[in-house]
Parts: sequence; C-alpha cells; structure tokens
Amino acid sequence: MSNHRKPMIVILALLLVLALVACGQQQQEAAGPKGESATSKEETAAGGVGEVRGVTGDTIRIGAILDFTGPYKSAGVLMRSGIETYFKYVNDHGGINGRKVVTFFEDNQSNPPTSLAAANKLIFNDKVFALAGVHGSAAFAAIYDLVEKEKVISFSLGHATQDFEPLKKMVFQVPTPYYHQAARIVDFFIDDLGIKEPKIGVIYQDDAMGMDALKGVEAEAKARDIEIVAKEPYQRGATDLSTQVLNLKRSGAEQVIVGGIFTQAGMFLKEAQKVNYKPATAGISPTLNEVVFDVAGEAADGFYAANCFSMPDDETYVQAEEIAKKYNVEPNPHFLYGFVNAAVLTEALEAVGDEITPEKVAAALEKLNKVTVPGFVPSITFGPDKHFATGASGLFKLDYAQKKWVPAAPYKEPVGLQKK
Amino acid sequence: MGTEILQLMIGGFATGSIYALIALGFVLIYKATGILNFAQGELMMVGAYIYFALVTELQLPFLAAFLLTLVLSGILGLVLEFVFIERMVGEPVFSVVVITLGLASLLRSLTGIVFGVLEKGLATPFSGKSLAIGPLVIWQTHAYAIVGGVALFIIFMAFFKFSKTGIGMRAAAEDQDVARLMGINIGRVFGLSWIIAAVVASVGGIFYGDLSFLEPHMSFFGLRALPAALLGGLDSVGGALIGGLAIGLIEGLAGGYLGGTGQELAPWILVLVILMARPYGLFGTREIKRV
Amino acid sequence: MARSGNFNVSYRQEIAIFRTLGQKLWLGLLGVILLAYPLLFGEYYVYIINFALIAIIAALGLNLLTGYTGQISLGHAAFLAVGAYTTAIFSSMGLPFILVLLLSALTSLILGLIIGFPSLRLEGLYLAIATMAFYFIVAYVIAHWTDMTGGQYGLKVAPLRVLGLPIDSNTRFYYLLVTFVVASVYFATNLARSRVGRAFVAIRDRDIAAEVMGIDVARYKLISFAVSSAYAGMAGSLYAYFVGILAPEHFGFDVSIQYIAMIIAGGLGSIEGAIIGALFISLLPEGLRFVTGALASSFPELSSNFLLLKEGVYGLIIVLFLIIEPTGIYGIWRRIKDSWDTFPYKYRG
Repeated sequence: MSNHRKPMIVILALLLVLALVACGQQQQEAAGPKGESATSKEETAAGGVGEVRGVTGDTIRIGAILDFTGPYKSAGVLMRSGIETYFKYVNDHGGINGRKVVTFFEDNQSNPPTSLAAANKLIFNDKVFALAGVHGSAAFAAIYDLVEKEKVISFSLGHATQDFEPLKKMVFQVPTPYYHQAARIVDFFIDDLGIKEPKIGVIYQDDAMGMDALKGVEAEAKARDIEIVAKEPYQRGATDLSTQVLNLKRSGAEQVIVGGIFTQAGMFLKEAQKVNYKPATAGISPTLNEVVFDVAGEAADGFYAANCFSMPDDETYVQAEEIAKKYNVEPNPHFLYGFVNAAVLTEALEAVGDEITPEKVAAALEKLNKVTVPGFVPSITFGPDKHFATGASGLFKLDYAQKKWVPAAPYKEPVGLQKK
Repeated sequence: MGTEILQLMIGGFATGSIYALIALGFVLIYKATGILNFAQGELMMVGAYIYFALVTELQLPFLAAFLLTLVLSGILGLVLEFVFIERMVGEPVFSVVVITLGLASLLRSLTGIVFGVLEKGLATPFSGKSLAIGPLVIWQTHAYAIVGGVALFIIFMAFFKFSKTGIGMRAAAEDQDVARLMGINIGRVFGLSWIIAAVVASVGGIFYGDLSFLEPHMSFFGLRALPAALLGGLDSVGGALIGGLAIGLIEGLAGGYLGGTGQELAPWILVLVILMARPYGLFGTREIKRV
Repeated sequence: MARSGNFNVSYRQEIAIFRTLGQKLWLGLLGVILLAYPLLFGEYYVYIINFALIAIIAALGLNLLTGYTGQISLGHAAFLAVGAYTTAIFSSMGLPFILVLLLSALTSLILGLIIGFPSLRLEGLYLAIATMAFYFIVAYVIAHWTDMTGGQYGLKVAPLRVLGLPIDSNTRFYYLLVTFVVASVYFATNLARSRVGRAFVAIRDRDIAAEVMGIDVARYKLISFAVSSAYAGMAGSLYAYFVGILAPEHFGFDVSIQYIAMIIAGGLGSIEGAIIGALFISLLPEGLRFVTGALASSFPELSSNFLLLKEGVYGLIIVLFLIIEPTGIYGIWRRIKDSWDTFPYKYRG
C-alpha cells in the first residue's frame, strides 16, 4: 500500500534474520557436539594460559562485592580491609601454591540491581575466579544464577538461609545463619539467663534477614514449647520505632529479640527507655556494633548480641590479630567477615593444588571437616549437601561504662534445632 | 489501654510537628514562586549536617551553633535560588520542578562525599532527655519541636498577612508578570522564600537528627512531609501546620493498629484521595483556570 | 550537483520517514554497527549496552508522555516494576514469551489508564505528586505482598525462550533487544508524526487552546498515558527476563529520576532525544568509572564513593541541561548540523 514503509520493513526483516542467524551460530558453538569450542573461546577470553577464568601461571584473581555507600556502608570498608589483609599475608608468604592473589572490589550498596552489575563487571571484565564475599542477602540472591552458570565460587558475607537452601553448587556461607543465631538467643534466655517461662517479643526488619531471624525464633520456641507474645516488623532503614516499641510494651513481652541491624537496635533501646520499658534485649550479629552506643547512649547498657566471630581475648582472635598487626590494622567483627572468608577460600585453594578449577575447589570446600581458621570461633564443616559452616554462636553483653562488649554466653549450637 | 492510644497520639503529633516544619518550607516556596521544591528534604538534611559540623568541628556551644546554622542555611537557600532558580523565572513550571529534583540528587551526593555516609549521632542539650506528662512520656526534643514549630507558624502567618514583603510574595505567587508590573521585585521575593524555606527546614533537620541520626538519605523523610503540605493546601501556611500534625497522627495510629509498616503507606493513599477529591487541600485556594 | 535543500515532488515523498539517500546510507551504516557490536566488544560491554537498549524503550514511552504531551510523571519506575513483576508471575506459569510480553504491557497500560484519569483533573505539579504517590504505593505493594511478589526475597523469572531458542547469553539478548528497540522506535516515530502525536503536542503547548481547536483533550491524555505505560511495561518485561530475579530495589525512586534525566539530557519531545538520552545516561557510569579510575591515584576517595558520585552527576546533568541547554544533546546536534548545512550563512533561507 504505502511505498514509503518499505525500507523500514526491509531493515526490520534484515535485522531479524541476521539476529536469528547470529543466535543460531552461537547456539551451535555452545551446544556443539564436542562442547569444547565454547570453552576454548572462554579460555582465550580469560587471557589465561589455556586454563580457567581468573587463574594464570602465577596469579589468581579474586573479587568481592561490598557495601561502600549503602545502608551497611560502615561494614563494607572493614570487610574489604579484612579480605585485603588476609590475601596480602598469603602473598607475602609465597601465595597460594606459588600463585599471588590479585583482588578486585565493587560497591553494591547492598542493592540487588547494583550487585548484578558489579558481578557482571567482576566476572566478564575483571575475570575473577571466585568471589570472596558478596554483601547483602537480596543482593546475593540476585546473582546466584549468574555465579552458578559462570561457575564462580562465591562466599556469602551474610547469614541468610537462602544462601544454602536450596543448595547451590558454587555458593558457600561461613558466618552462622541468622536462623541459628536467633534460635540460640532463645536458648540463651532460657538456659544461660535461667528464665523458666520467657515471654518473647520479636522486632524484626521486614526483609530476608529479619524473616530468617523470626523463623529461627519460631522454630526454637516451638521445639522448646515457648510462647512468642509479639512480632513487630519495621521497614529497612526505619528512623522511627516508637509504635513498634509501644506495641511490644503493650503485649507484655519481657524478652525482646532484635532481628535487625545496629542502628535500629540502638533506636529500639533509646525509645524503650523513653517509655520506661525495660525488657532483656538481645540482637542477632548485625547489632554487634559500636554504633549502638552512638544511637542509644546509656540506654545501650546491658544489651546482648549474638556473634560467631572471635572477640578479643579469644585464642582465634589473637591469631587473627597477629596477622593483622603486620599490616597495621585491627581486627574487629566486620573486618573478620572478610578475613575469615579469605582464609577459608585459601584453605580450599591450597588443598586443590596446581590444577585449579571451580569444581575442584568446590569439592575441596565440601571436604573441610572441623577446620578452625583465625578469627572464627566455631569449627568449620561443609559437606556435599551442607554449604553453611556452622550453626553455633555465642552471646556478648554491652558494658556502657567500659564501652565494650563482654562475653555473656559460650559459642553453642541451638538445642531445639538439633533435636529435629 | 487509654494511655497507650494517647501515647501513640502524642508520638504522632511530635513527628507531625517536624513534618509541619518541613511542609512549611514546601508551602513558602510554592506560595511565593509557584513551584514545588523537591529538594526540601535535602535542605533539611544539609541544615542538620551544618549544625553537626559546627558542634563537632568548631566545638561551638548549642545556641551559637543553632543560630549560625540558621544563618548558613539561609545563605545556602539564597545561593541555590540565585544560581539555579532565578534564571528560570518565566520558564515552564516543569523545568523548574525538575531542576529541584536534580538539586536534590546533587545535594545528597555532595553531603555523602563531604561528610561520609556513616550514621552520625547529633547532640543537643536536650538529647535523650524525656519529659513526663502524667502517665505519658515524650522526648524533650518533641516538646521543643511542637513549641518551636507553632511559634514559627504564628510568625509566618502574621508575616504573610500584614507585612508588605509578605503581601508582595503572595502577589508574586498569584501572577509573576502582574506582580512585576506592580513594582514587586520578583528576584527578591524568590530569594526570600528560599531563605525562609531553608531556615525552617534546618530547624526541622536539627530536631529530626536529634531524634534519630544523621545520614544523607534522611532527606527522604522530607519527602514524607509532602503529603502534609498537600493535605493542608499547598498555599496555606496554617494548613501546613495542621496537615503536618494530621499526617503525623495518621502515621502513628496506622503504625499502632495496622502494624509496623502501615505508616509508610497511609500518607500516600491519603495523597491520592486528596488529589481526587480536593486538589487544593483543606485550606488552600481553589484556582480557576482562564485562557 | 549540490541541492540547496530537499524538495519533494509528491505527497508520498513528503511523508516518507527516510527522505534522502544520505539518511538511508547512514541508517544502513547504523544497522551494520548494531549487528556487529557484539563481535567488536567484550561480553561486559554487551551486558552494559543491553541495559541501555531496555532503557531506550522505556525512555521512548516517558518522552511521549512528558516530552510530547507535557504530563510530568515521577512514577515511571512503577510502570516498569508492574511490567517486570507481571512477567515474572506469568512466565513462571509457563506462558510463551510473546504472550507474557503482551500481558505485561497490557497490565502496565491498564494501570497507566487508571493513573491517567486523575490527570484529566490535575495539572503540572499536582500530577507530579499524584504519580509520585502512585509510585510509592506500587513500591509498597511489591515489597509487602510477599505471596505474589516474593517481597524482599525476590522473585525468579523463568528462563527466556523465543521460538524454541533459549536466550541465555548477553549476545542473544542483545539481538532480541535490538529487534524490540527498532520496532519501538518505528512505532513511536509514526505515532509522533501522526494525528495523535500532533494532538499530544497541542495539549502540551496549551491544553485549552487544543480543546477549542477540537482536540478531545481527555481522550488524548489517556492515550498518552496508555502508550507510555505500555512502553514501560514492555521494557520492564524485557528487563525482568534479562536480570532473571526481581527485587523491590530494582525499581527505586531514583529510577524515575534517571528516566527524567534521560529525556532531558537527550532532548524533550523528540524520538532521537529519548534514544540519545537513554544511551547517554546508561553509559555514563562507565565513563565515570573511567574518569575516577584515572584519578584514583590522586583522589582515592573518588572511586570508593563511585555510586554517590553517580547520583550527583545525574542530578548535575538534569540541572545543567535544563538551565544551559533545554533542548538536550539532540538539540545541540541539530544546531551543529544546521550550521554545517547552511555554511557560510547563519540561517536557513
């Protein structure tokens, strides 16, 4: 009908045909009978010497995706320092079987889309072999498929259950899951503080982290036949918890478990003190941070927080400190997240030997049994169907006068969850 | 049970008084210049950071730091207006509004780079002190916010009603060209409205920072004052006060009875309802459109 | 023999999209470059450009609404989100790609009509606020309706197959997206120069005058909202397939701002503007990364503040373009082209 449309239609058709042809060619390459052409292409792209992405004769490239400018920014810088410090130490002692570690870091603001961009950059542009840490539960979830498909061994920097359930071949988690931590806190109220009939209230962040903690409390409470009197969610980054505090007070909760991070733990304590509400309060490990002092002031006194990393005076802490001191840094909880991941990854890489492939490293990780690394108290055991290292955690009490955390209960697995 | 509802209401009013201060900023700029300043929350945030810097870096006492913050915020408002807004007089409203959106991103980013992104505690002489009224407890900061807010409102209502400059600003909002023909210095009116908006925002910022903490994204709290301004009517100073208190109250009660996060949603639904039913707000002026 | 202009000798010539041989040649060159791109650049850059291609589709939609019809929308991210989540939900039911895509565009379109209705009553600022409120409500629902959207856990999207071919690499996505971009541009170009497009512009310039001239303002405003949100829904659908798993953070308020930055930087009210702006804003972080990388030795804090810097630069671009160059990059380009065409004279005769 109209002549003027012709060129456009021709171009469109041309594009389509070419696109299909190009796709078809690619498919042939990828799914060709030998299946090697695609791999060999990848290898040349990796710039290696006929080996896997990120591994050359004398180097191994390792990345990490951290939060430098997002809601957990205070942690990100320290995690980076932990990873860097451990790999510097490895490099100064001859590297991993002679290969030096080269590190690459990207900021993700704990945000899924940014993480995806960061992971693509690290994998395709920087060509890393493994990710020694990915921060943020939802952020990590956004790249599971990518790291599985590209076979990039990835370590969680968090405690989310979804990191290992369902099992993902390339994904490993060292820090104790929130689920187990929260369950341990229930035990702590009953066994360590000796409260026979606790009335537990939960205040939790309404995201994956908070839900994990809530589910852990619920499971342990059910196993031990305990009542949960209130469950109060708040939005991530909330700046006002007054209604949640009032609701908890109204419910008559005498013990409160905080499934959130330090800022909101501090705000909870401050707000509770205002309305003269004084429950025994304990939080999962993200609340173990000095910011609680800043936000809550003296209301922070007596707050408990769960932890799986070493605290000063512990033997494993001293080992970590010895290494850190050589590089003029001081180990603190967030530093240790990075540090410990780097140590576990190094352990597996060394066990594999010269011929490093992602599959072999994953297998080596799964063989780790009751291994202890500097900076981490519980022993680490992975298995073919268990990609989290441990369920044990200890509790620490905040001493406002001394401005420090003092040990309150030993590192243990939750009793109720083990029964199942 | 009765005291709990009262406690929720008092808490809501207290938050509402800070909303009211920020909403006042929205209203003043809208009233004088006919645009909506999406950087209002950022003015609040920068004000709080200025106070923070004066107290921690220069070790100034509270009152000196507070007054100096007001002065510096006013200057910031004036500079922003002079550099970015003044040259846009006569341009479509769309352009100016989008410029304020751009300014908002810019201010957030600069603040993060200069002060770092870590949460910072902000201290005032009344930080963390509470005040008991019978069975109810409120923060002293809340009490000051309510008192200070109401005082500022009375001042500005009188200003717009009686002073020559105030009437000039109202005239400018009505019709820039006509106001200019009547001998009103539009540039001055614009500058003044931005100064005042920045000053009231910084007061809100200090109160708010004292109640929670400082970080660049605290500016989003300012965005939540927009429903308040809208409810009262975008051009009504008294409406901003009542709108602020009402939104605070709704948020408080929604949080108490709908659960912890209901308060995030309630104001926005209210906005849609207001816009459908009464876009000019409870106390705003109804505009009649002429060709 | 040089001509002093393009003279049309028939009506058909005048309404043709490609009017000169030069245009066709340039377009052919562009087509070749588009097809060869994945062969020339590494996988990472294909990945980056894929996001830009998706952004082009959504920016075209926003430009039709804001640039052509003059309706400010701060809720574009919400339409993208609705499209994306619709795709995630329907794709997991095993529906074929084209159907899922259409359903996503349709869902967005219906929501666009719903939010378009207040626009019949609301002007400028109030419409901006209404779309913003709409955005915050959608964002809240996505974050909290966990059964449907997965909430903070995220929602998986079924792998994409087109005509039996799995689209599972960046390169394959690239060709698929290029096809959609070409089709979207084609449709938008024709819409913009048709009766509908001219009605949009008339409403933008003076809605009452448009009404007097016999344009059904309400109808065309709604059409504009519908088309714009359908574009966003389609872009959201492709986005969902591309990223594979959705979370509320994909559709933050800053996404709406980014799209506004795109159409302003590119040029309001032109198809080319939307394309250039989407490319410019999407590729800007890479340019910024290059600059901060080069300056890293003297200003190490720059690269650790990279994402903050990015946010600031988006803001700066909006402000600077609106103040200094309201016609955007496309406007600059057209001015340069005009002065080249008319050299040594200053104006067209």
